[in-house]
Amino acid sequence: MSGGMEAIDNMSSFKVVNHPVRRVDAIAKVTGRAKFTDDLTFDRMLYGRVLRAKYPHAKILELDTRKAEEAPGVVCVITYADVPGAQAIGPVRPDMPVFVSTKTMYLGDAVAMVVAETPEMAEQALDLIRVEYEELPAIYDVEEAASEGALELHEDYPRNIVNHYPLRKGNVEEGFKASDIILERTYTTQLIEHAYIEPEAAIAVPGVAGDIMTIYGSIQNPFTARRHVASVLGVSLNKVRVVQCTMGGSFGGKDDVVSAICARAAVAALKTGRPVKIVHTREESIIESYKRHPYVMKYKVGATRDGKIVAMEVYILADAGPYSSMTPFVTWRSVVQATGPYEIPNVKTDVYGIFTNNTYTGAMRGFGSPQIIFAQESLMDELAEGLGMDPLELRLLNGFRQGSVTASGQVLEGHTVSLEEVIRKATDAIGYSEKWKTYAKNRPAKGKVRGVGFATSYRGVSLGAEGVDAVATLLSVQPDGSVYLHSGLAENGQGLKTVFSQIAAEELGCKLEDIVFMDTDTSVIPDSGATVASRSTTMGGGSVRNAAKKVKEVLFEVASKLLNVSPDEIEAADGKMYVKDEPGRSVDFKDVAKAGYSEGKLMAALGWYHAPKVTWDEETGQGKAYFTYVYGCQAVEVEVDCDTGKVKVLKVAAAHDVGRAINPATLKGQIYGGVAMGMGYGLLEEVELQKGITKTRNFDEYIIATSMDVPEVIPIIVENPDSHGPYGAKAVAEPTCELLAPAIANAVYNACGKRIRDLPLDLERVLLGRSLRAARGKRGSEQS
Amino acid sequence: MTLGFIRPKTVGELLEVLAEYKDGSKIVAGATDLLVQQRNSKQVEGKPLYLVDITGIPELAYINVESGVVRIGAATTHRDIARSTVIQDVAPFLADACLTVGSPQIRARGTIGGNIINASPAADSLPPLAALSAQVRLVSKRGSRDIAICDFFKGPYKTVIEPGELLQEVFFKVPKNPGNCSFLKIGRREAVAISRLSVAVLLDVDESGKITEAAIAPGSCLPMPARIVRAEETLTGKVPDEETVEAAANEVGEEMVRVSGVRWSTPYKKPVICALTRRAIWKALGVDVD
Repeated sequence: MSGGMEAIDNMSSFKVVNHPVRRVDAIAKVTGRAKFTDDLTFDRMLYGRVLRAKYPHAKILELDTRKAEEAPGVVCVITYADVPGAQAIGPVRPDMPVFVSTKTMYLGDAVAMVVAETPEMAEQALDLIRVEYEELPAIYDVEEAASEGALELHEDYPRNIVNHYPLRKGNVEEGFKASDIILERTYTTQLIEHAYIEPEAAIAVPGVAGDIMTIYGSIQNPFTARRHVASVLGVSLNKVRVVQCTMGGSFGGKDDVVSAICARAAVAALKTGRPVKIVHTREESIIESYKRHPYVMKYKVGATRDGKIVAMEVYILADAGPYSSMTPFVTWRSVVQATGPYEIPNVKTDVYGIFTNNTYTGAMRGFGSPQIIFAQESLMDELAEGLGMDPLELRLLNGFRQGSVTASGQVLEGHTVSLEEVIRKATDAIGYSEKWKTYAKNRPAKGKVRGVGFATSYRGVSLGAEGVDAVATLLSVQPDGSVYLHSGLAENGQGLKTVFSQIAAEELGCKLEDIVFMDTDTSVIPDSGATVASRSTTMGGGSVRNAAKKVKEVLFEVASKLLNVSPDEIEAADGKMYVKDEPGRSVDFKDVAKAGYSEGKLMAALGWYHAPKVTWDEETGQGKAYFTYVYGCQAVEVEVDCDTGKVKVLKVAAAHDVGRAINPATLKGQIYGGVAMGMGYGLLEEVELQKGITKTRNFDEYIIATSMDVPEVIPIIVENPDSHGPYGAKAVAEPTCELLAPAIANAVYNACGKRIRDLPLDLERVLLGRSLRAARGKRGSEQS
Repeated sequence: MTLGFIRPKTVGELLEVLAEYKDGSKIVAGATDLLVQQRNSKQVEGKPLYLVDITGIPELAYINVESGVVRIGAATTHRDIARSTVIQDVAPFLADACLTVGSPQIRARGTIGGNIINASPAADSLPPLAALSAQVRLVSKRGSRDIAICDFFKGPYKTVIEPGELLQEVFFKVPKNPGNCSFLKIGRREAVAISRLSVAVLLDVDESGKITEAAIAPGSCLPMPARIVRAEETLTGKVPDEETVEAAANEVGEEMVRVSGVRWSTPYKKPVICALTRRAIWKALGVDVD
């Protein structure tokens, strides 16, 4: 907290940004006036219900929909044969069919969709669809899938490799030779669900002006959805308009799966000429939607006696499920960050995405970082133990500092490398150092014992060398001085509308309440890529500021005539434009707008922000992966019940360098939420698949943390302004949920001396050291 | 399947409805379990099922003590039991157990009658009721009968109640030593958690510190509520020391394996139910362990 407060005091010149203003969309949400997708209805609207695969991997011998078509209220049954354009979609490779034709690849595959007058009628008719299957041999275990001679799930993908990223720096063999201590450890993480409160939903409305297909939906990335709907319909991009509705959460989850739903609704709308709505039940959502990748991670580390890390070798298999989806991007972030925020001269990393018949995996808050941070931060504590060192000392000894060189050979410059600052602030806040020593000395094997632990990370901001990184914002001042903001990035609940409005108000000098932020509409604003990678504030905020600067220039010209001074003598703030040296001489923002309008001035502008250049060599894994980085550390105190395996989280301190807090209140919200998600990842959550069959289908069995589980959280906002972001702002969304799981694992070790290398640390793992649940391609102990 | 919904205002009216629809009807008293089951059940064609809601009958929601007997109406909510000063005095572990049910919303809707009839092996109120040797009163148009709680169940989710019968109340004698009781529960999280394991302990201790009577009833480890007689006998007549308590607690684990067999969960459940019971016995004795 103190870090943030100091910085805020120093920056008292800010009028709107850096202040904890109320969310601009809060009132509509708490009063129930916000419109979610399912709140919308259209005249003559139909409802689609999907029939999914009966077996994760099976040939479809026959598909007979005739009886279902004759059922009461049924208008038609849609299958792959109705798709006019591309059969499959995908962000990197179009390999995920919107409707499967000849075989199923996982349990969530859509075989057919009943379109009926009511949801109930559609549901009833599902049972009347007859499908004859022939089960095929399947692969559920990622190591088996990646082994030599394994069954190939897709043609031309030997060993089921979706992608392979190597990274080579120095010479690890030499490094290990020069090491006094070498540790080899395997860590694994589980399949988890985003658990957004609103399941997927979309409505397609056909034939609006010029035969445009309009899509409304719970869509994280409207431009991605548009691209996929257009390709499935076989039409140009401008024949599809996507409008985002208020989102009930996303966390990276409403991307590919929602594109598929939008496409299904659009195919049905095209065929029937009527609007078609699809709303998933929770069970459908959990069965079909993609999840966070389970990883198997083999780490080998070598260090000198005095604690200097000399070499690290990393081998990772990421379970992609049957479709490539975001796997090539997710695993790329993993290869960049796999060895953590440490200076290591010799590194050899290989990250593989692997096809299986499990539920497919894709983007989820963290995006390839929570897994590797669990491994690397557990490993750091294990190494410290092996060296007889304090884990804090070991990290500070090897941690990045100004000018350090990363595993990919990037020199960390042009921003403040604040690793030590965040580590010290987070660990100090829970009294880590003394407690760690005390608890480590006193480890009874019975009863309830306490422990402390922490984890730290660096994280590349925005997309990096993943791809095109540019954002547009349209800012338009009305004749009465009110303002419309349209952005190419979307509000997914993260607070984007508020942060962008603050930036616009700060730069333009208008009042925050005079801005209306419009829902994202692909027909209004240029394609700005996806609202992902914690890039909105940096990238989108940059484009807002750019648009506001352009409009301000016009308004200052108008105001200069009204105030009889030159434009460069004018400043604007809080709804007024005034003479810099004589603040009493002012004119209202709205009067300037009125005058500008009557003079025929263009008081609107399209702002654009393009990310600085980044580089990557696919062969060696070397390059300037991201244009800037954020640093974070979370420290935790836990109580472990040695007799029951129950881990209670008592207190969490989370220190995150955000560059600049545009809104300290919503930023803390990000931290609280990220900590809660990280806690679920560490202790509770796992989607259980038994031979590809989803067992945990609703929140009675898929356990996420409740408000009774989440402990006191101390948010520590660290501000080291960055030259790339608006007002120095960087990012906060994802770093907050990538650290707590390893911090808890380290704290559990400190408490009771049990090192748990597999997530989650549920009751059974903590008590017995192994899971009794069925998951990760295995059947748990039910088999053994 | 079509669902009908009937909400009688009196017990008399209710019994008429039950007599008329018999097995075409199902009593609901909060429906916090039933609606979840209904959601997961496959829709089938057939005659409609009538849900008969008893939460609109004021004469079924009560907690009273008369002549040393506590009576709780079937439609009394977990919230009301947890908040009841009567229950907090005469059977605090029952109040504790009801307070661990679900969430505030579930406790405000879910009832003790529903918890009993649902007959889940993980039901939170059943271990204390078993330890209290509670009885249930069933009424129908033909009359009424009382059954001991442990005889009321035929297996998981199965009871001896017959079509046309209403569970009117659960009742038990005020224990001699209400202070010497405890309820402990392990769930995967702190709220909205189905019991992974639980145990209720009720003791009678004389002036010399000797345990004269013991009742131990675990949850989530047997198919239906039961007392663990061997564990109780281990304690009875003894001044408790660590060895005795440990031995009694271990009997609960042994009994679980005897009755339920070795299952996938046994490697976890066996040591933990022993540890939980050990703690619960000490807690009932007023000794704070862990």
